Amino acid sequence: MNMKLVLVLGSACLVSACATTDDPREGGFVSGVQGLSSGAYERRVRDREDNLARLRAVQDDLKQETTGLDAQKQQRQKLLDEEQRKLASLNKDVKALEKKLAALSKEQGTSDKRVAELDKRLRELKGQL
Amino acid sequence: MKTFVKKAVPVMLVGSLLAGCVSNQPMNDTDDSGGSPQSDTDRTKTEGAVFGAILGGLIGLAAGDKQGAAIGALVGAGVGYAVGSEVAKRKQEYATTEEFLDAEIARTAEFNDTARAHHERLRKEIVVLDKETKALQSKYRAGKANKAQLAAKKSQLEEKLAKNNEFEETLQKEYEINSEILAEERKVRKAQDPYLSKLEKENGDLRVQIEQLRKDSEQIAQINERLSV
Repeated sequence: MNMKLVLVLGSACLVSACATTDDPREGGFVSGVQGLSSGAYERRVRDREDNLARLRAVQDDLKQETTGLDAQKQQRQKLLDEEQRKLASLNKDVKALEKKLAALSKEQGTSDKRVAELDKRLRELKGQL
Repeated sequence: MKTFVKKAVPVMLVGSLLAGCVSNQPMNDTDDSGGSPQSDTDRTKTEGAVFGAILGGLIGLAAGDKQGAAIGALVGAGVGYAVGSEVAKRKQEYATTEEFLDAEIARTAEFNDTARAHHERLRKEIVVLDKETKALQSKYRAGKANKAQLAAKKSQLEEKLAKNNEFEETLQKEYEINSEILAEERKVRKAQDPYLSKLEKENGDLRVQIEQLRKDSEQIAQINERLSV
């Protein structure tokens, strides 16, 4: 009777001594029993859930960052457009001013010449009177 | 018989257990990275039945004789198969959950990588936009300085124009005085006096010139008006 008991216990020890894996896709019956009873499968799932939760938190942060960066880019683009518009307007004004100043200077020169001539003639006339 | 049991049963038992216990070995020969869930399910059920049979047999043997062992093995195999099926089912559930989570993890990680790359591009674009804006602001400042210089020139011209207008008025007055003097001279000189004729002609020319000057001033004023940027 003792020998039979030894056999039962011995076989139980052998079963428990088998190398096991915590991957539920493999390992057969012994690993399955061990994985279920020890909570190894549950831990693997929990690890993955934790990992996923971390990644999703990062994802949320990244989404917020995307919104911020998009807004920043839009604002900078608006500023650039405004500067381009201002500069174009200024360049147009300066060009027109240069052109008209050239015309004005020319007219001015002519006018000065006429005034001087007129002044001279008037003085001559006054001298003759 | 006792000797047989003593020697044969442990040997068979160990042999069966070691043969059945093929841990960490994928059952699918074509896939070294992990076991095929279907193969592992079958294996788990089979091993459950084998373990059940052995345990049942041993218990039957411990409780009775050979017949008891046979009955124990049969019952044990059935129970072992049932237990094995339940274990296989739960393993499959865990495996499915893991696959779902792994897929979600991969998808989320990919999204995050894409988002990071997108952010990198956005940051670079923002730097370029800032650079362009600064360059434009610098050009604008230079242009504004240029415009200020031109405006100063314009002011100078306006001043000159005002002086011309003032001078024109003076000339106009002098012309009027000369005209009065000429009128007085006509009273004391003959109508055909060449000196008088010359003076009248000079005065007429002067009047034409004053008119021209007025026209010039008006033209300059118009130009100046258009220059108001």
